[in-house]
Amino acid sequence: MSWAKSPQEGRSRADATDLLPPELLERLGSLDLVARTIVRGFVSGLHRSPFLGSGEDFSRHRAYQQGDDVRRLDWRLYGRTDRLYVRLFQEDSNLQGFLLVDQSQSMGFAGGGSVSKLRYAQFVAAALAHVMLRGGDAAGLASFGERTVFHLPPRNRSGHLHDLLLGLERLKPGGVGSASSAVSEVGAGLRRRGRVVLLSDCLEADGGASLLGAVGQLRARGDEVIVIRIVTPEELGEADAGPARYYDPEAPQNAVDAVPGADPGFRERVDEYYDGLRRGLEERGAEYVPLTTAMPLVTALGGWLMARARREPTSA
Amino acid sequence: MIVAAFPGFLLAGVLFAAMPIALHLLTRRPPEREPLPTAQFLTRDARTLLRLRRRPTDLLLLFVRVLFALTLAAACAGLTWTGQRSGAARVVLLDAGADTLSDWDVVLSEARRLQSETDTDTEAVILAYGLSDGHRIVNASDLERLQRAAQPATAEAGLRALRSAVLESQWETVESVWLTRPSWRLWSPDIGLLRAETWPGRAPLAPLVSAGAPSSGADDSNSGAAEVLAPPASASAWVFGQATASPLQRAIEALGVRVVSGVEDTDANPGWIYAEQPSASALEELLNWADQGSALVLSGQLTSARDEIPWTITGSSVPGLREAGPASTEAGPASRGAGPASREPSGFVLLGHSGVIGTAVVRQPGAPGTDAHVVAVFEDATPAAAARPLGEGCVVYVAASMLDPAVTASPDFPRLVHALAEGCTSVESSDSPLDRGALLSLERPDLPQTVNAASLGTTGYPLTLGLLFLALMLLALEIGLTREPRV
Repeated sequence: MSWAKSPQEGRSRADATDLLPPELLERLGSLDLVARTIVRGFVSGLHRSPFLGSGEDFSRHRAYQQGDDVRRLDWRLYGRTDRLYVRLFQEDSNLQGFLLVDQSQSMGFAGGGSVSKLRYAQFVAAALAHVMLRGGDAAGLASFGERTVFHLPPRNRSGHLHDLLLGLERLKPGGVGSASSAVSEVGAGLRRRGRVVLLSDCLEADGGASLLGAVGQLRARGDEVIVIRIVTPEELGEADAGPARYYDPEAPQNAVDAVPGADPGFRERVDEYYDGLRRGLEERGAEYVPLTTAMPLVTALGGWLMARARREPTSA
Repeated sequence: MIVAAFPGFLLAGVLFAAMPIALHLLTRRPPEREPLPTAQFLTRDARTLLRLRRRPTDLLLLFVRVLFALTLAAACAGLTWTGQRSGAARVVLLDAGADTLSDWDVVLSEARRLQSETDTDTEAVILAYGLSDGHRIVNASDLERLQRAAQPATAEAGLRALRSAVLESQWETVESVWLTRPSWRLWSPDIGLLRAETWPGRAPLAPLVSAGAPSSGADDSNSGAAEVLAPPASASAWVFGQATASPLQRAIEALGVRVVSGVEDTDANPGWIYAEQPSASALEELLNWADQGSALVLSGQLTSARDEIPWTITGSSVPGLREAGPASTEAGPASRGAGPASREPSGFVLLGHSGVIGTAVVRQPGAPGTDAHVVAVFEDATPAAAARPLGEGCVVYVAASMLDPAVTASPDFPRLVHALAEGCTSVESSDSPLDRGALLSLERPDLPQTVNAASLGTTGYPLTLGLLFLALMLLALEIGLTREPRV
């Protein structure tokens, strides 16, 4: 797979935006502005975008081995070093991708912060849309709440980013969603090998089994699946919540009188759930990115993208 | 012990404090519902419901609000910490003023005797007043070293000293004995009104053997009866402006006094002249007669104020007559006490003590003027007549009408006539011994022997400022708690 290089931008700008909290980004208002701010922040830290695009882009040299294509030999280097090296290029590919955003009722939860999970997901999706389109890949937008909605098909043309951001901006929380069925439906919508980026809290009624099944199907088909889990610290038991009658927004009839802050088992059970999900995804070759709404977006997203760039295999 | 100056505020405070309790009970909320997408991982906590119903923050707030209401009410109620009163005491009220100078040794020995003869279960103290530095409780051994004042001490000063000392003490019940030489210098015009208010108990005067003062316990009621009933020394009287056969004239004549019809009817000055409400010109003429040796007895409303008149009109500028009222119709303490001794010779007459005059007599407002001698008091010890020398004679003002048949028909009328006619001579100086009626007005044997100290009022440490400060602190705490974000 080949990804286009991202434009390198000044490091000083990145320093300024590294620690931008989600609350501050929320005040910026325009999702486009938010997305560009985030991307400027982390792209400058990347030597190469993990979502690199098409082209005969040189990657690196490798010592010549028997069987290598002699057309890839670097004769100039041979002239200088008197050794044979072959030139490696990144894979040339135009990938189709879907940004699949969870807009179920639970995504409207903000906890003690001012930014809900859905809003945070919108920030992340906008930033990823920026990166993908800049890399030459086609990006589409789908969401799921009460049902799965295809907003925009994967495209890469002028003005498409604006459409994507507009589509993201229109997402409102509501309904009871199922990530597994949405992933399956979106996967079915890809006409060829592609990428599905799921942005969700991944709270499935069946413990995530069906989601893992849907992801496994896509992976078996050769699609790339990235699951970006977005939750609040309160949901993880990291915030000190007091006594109340708690209920799941998607199942309000099931309320429980509890004190999350005084219930050590609560955090353990949540961690166990997400650990199981992570293991299942990794076993199926999908990528799992755990984020919380308390994380500064540039740091969280940039860290993941840089790590992804480092481990991205370059093709010969 | 804590006493409240305004107990009504305490009741109001209790009602005020009940309001937050009632509001707390009425507005108790059901458990709050909080969304949490990961609620499926929570376990039910049985104590949560209890915590939700009775939040510690709410209870603390309720406590602060109730305490604030009570503290504010207590501050408004004027609470005072007085300490716990207990025990009984006998206070020997020792006059250390100039009046007892000549009898000081007798006074001291009497004070020691009174102190030593007190019951063992009663604390005996000597309270000296009339000192150069006021009054204080002194030890018997320190009596010789007292710094006495050069001026005589009044009965009012003694009563106030007694009250003040008892208020500052921790005694529960107190009885007092008065050790003084009862002269007219002890007296004050308002003593009749002040007496019971200042000390609502008896204050018997201990007899001083060498003092020469009349003792309240001495029975000399018959010794001078003939003198009282005898005509005055200057036995000619002129009733100014009255018909010859007026009841007053007849009553005077019945005493053996020759009543003249005018100055032309006598060779010399009339012995005494009675004039009721004379005109300004007549008063001028009458004062001239007094200056030449007559005893001028005035009454009623006078149209001109003269310095020679020994009476000062107080209160209303139009000094109308004041009804004696039901209070004065009752036999007062002096009259009751003076009953058996009313025939004793004295220049001091209880007007209306028998109840005959007291039911009808009306009083002229005012009080004796400066340097005037009180020659008669009403039954409640309020001055009734005062005298002041003028030239060779005397001017007397009597605050009741002598023309009143109730006066002339009274058994005390002869004594009254004698006192008025001899106004300036019977009381020669202010240190003359008090009349028995005045003594009884001071002693007040009709009042309880022991006084409950708590009934005198309260002294101690006022708690108002401290309570107000506490209320402010509680208010600040309440504001802080309500501003605190709830978990």
